[in-house]
Amino acid sequence: MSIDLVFRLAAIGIIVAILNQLLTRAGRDDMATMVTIAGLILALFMVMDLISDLFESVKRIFDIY
Amino acid sequence: MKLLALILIFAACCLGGYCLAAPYKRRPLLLNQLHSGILGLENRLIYYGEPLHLALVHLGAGYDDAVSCLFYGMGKSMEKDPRLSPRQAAEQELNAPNYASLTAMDREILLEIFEGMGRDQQGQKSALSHGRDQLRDAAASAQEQKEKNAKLYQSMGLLLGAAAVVLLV
Repeated sequence: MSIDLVFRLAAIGIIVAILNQLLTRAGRDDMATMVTIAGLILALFMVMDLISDLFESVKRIFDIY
Repeated sequence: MKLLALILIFAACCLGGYCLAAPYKRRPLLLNQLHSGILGLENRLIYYGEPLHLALVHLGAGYDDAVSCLFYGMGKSMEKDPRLSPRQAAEQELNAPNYASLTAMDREILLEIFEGMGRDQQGQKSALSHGRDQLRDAAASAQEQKEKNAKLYQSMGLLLGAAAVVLLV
């Protein structure tokens, strides 16, 4: 796993948090929720391969086939 | 090359945010200018007794902002075509890009003011006074919206640019 991915996820988290605060203070709670969900989906897409690898490793280690 | 593309993407997002925020910034300014312009028009019509088209041309020449374009253009149109009603002249001039930041409600306030110009002096006075009150209220609400939305769109442009750069880098 590259450390770049961790930094990238951190940056997206910071950006989404700031956007969420901005939109909430502007009274656009619905948009703030959408942005948070979009950030979450984006982050999940970025770590999808790693999660898949993790499940494969768990299956291999515990002989779950 | 990649760095240049990222900088361009970031700049484009920031610019987009500023463009979205621009009408919110411009609207209260424009409404305040129109408010003072209407006050000047009231003085010229009621107290100097000038005819409407002359009052508009003189006021338009005296100002150096968006109001001057509206009043001067209206005055000149009404001089060229005396059958043109003040409302029609205002409708023509309000189509200019200078007034794109005005909402439909702001335009309706202005058109109602100029519709009242075809009446007697008392009618003109009441139309101008009522219109000024409405413009002042609209300017106050525009100021509130500016404080709420202008910074929001600027910040959103900046942050979305940053997000795009983070994803593409």
